[in-house]
Amino acid sequence: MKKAYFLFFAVVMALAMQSCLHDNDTTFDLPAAQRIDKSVEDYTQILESADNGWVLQYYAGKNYSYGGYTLLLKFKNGHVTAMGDVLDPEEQATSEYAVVKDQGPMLSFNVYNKVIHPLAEPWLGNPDGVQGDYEFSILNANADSVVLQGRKWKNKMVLTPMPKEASWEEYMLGIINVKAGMEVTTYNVIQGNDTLTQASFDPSIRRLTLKLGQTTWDVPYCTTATGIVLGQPITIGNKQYSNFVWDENEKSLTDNNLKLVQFVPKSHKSLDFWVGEWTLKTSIRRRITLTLEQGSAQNTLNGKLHINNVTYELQLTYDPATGRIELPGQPVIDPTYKYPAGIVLIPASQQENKLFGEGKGSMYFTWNEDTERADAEDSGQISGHAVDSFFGVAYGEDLQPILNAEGGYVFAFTLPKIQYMTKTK
Amino acid sequence: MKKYLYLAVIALACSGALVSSCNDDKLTGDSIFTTKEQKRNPFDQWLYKNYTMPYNVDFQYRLKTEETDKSYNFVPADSAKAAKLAIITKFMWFDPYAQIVGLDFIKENAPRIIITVGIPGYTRHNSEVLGSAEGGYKVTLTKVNALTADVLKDYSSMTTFYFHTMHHEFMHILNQKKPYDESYDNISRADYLSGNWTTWSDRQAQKQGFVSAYSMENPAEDFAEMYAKYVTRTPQEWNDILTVAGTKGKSIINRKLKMVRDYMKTAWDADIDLLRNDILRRGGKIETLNLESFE
Repeated sequence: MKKAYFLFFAVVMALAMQSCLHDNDTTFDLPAAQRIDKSVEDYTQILESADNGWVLQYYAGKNYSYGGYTLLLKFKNGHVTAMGDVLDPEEQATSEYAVVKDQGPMLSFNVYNKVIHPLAEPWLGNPDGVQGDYEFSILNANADSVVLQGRKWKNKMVLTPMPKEASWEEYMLGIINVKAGMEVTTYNVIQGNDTLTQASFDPSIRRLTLKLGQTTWDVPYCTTATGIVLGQPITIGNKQYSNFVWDENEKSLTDNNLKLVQFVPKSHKSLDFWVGEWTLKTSIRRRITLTLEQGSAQNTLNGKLHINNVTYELQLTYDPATGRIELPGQPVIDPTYKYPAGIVLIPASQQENKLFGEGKGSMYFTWNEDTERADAEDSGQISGHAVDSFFGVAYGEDLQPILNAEGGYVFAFTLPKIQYMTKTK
Repeated sequence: MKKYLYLAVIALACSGALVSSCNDDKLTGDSIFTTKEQKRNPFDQWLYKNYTMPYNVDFQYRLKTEETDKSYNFVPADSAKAAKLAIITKFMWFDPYAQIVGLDFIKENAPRIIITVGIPGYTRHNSEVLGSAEGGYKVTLTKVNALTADVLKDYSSMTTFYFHTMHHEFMHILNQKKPYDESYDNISRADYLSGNWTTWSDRQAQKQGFVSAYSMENPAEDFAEMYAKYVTRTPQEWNDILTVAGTKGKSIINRKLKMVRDYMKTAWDADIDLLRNDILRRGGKIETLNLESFE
């Protein structure tokens, strides 16, 4: 028993005889909280020091799975002014920003900015949106570059200073021009004198894909005033490429000895080519003409469909990427005033004996160099079905289709089994 | 005796161990907390005067992600719209309770933090979460960026987007402080659907004795929905709900309403009919508020 007391006493004594170590110098000059305060101040100072702002190559999507965007950001007195190719490249917006203390200093766009935040904004049916961040850990910062990492989606992005004399408006105009030039999306990949493969850009998701041998690249890119920058470099023959300069005359992108030259297939036609008078080939023998002229909105065509001595006005769209035109279902004014609520051009399948609903289904016309006519084909909008015809369904006063004695629809005109059209004027 | 002596020695040693210290560290005198004056813009000053000082409420419009529910991807509120909503929130939420129930009531029970964010929480079930209330102290109001000039003019949109949410979340806060009678949960016990309410329409739900489809989530939401619908809708709109509900639905809704009314009376000495009158009267005066400047 005594032994137990003794042991217990020994332990207590050991506790009591703690030492007073006096070499407890701190590694850092200042307490942690003050050091973070200081770095917040320093980073704010660096961000605000770039007089003409910064260019941010922004990447959305976890693991860079979505596209690249270019933002111009100027920080002044706690406010950020931004432009970017997110929604409207000509819009400029100013809002507050802050460098805040999180686990480390963090750049937070903590008040809504209509240039920046659409990247982080989900919508009904897509609760993650394009997975963009508006809060960034600052990994490194100096006057030449600031390295950011998205707080939620973790992509790393770099801010580089915008040259002092450069105009923001001109920079954005440069982006608009490069994008316009790159509307055709297939490119031949040429290294030195060898054409290696084809690459394709998808401007809607801002990614480049190309396959060479066993390797496939699928990388996001940002458009700049002079060309494009890839989110990750592509490696061909032990060389890395990521900064491409756009040449408008040559329609090419160049990085050192690697060149991507726009490949325009013979089926690709300009908008102007489609303007003129065309004769439609359908399964009825009557002569049907479609006269096209350029529409007021970008990449649209106004069409005059002449059938049974009546002229109906239609709208078509032009796809600059493929150089083909598209005829969708649409409401049509009845120039004869026979049908009170007008006509709806409804896509249909003669083959399946089916009319499709309004708002879905269309046909493409693609130029065929060999046969010298524009072939008609279904656009694939309605899965499992193929549009091959259009019917002009007549509507009555009650805004419902007019029915004939047998209970069927009344057609103002029909375009059954559209096969192709030939240019007549 | 010897044993006690040992114990005494041990006790002494223990206390010695406790009080010993190396006390040659000096306080430097500098606090790590900054005492620099905060920069306040005119909106911040208005909030300080109208929320912080009278109610000790922190109305946050600069988004701090850590204060929001991680289940959703939010974006910050537009500051100009948040300012308008701050003015409206005080007018449609704090002021009616101050006037009808008493200033002390709202001072004591208002959530300590109100967070505004730009968009609703979008769920994986294709639905929108318009607000939330946590721990009796924090309310999140969403969809601030939808506060356009057109929406401002439309009382019905303002009600569904904002007014309903304010009173709904406030009821959660009140319930978090003083629970309601649990027998309420039994009235529709078999009909709660959790997340599956999204497949129901309001009309279908009303026939089952709920004022809205969302009420079918769980009893606590049902309780808050009952209250918020009652105090933000006109008597005519309320009667329309009862008409749709039919005989069965109506009798259930009325039973629930009575419990909500009793709860507010006994727990908080508040008359929900007087509150409703005041809220509706104020709803008609939104247009007279000066939302463009801070006075």
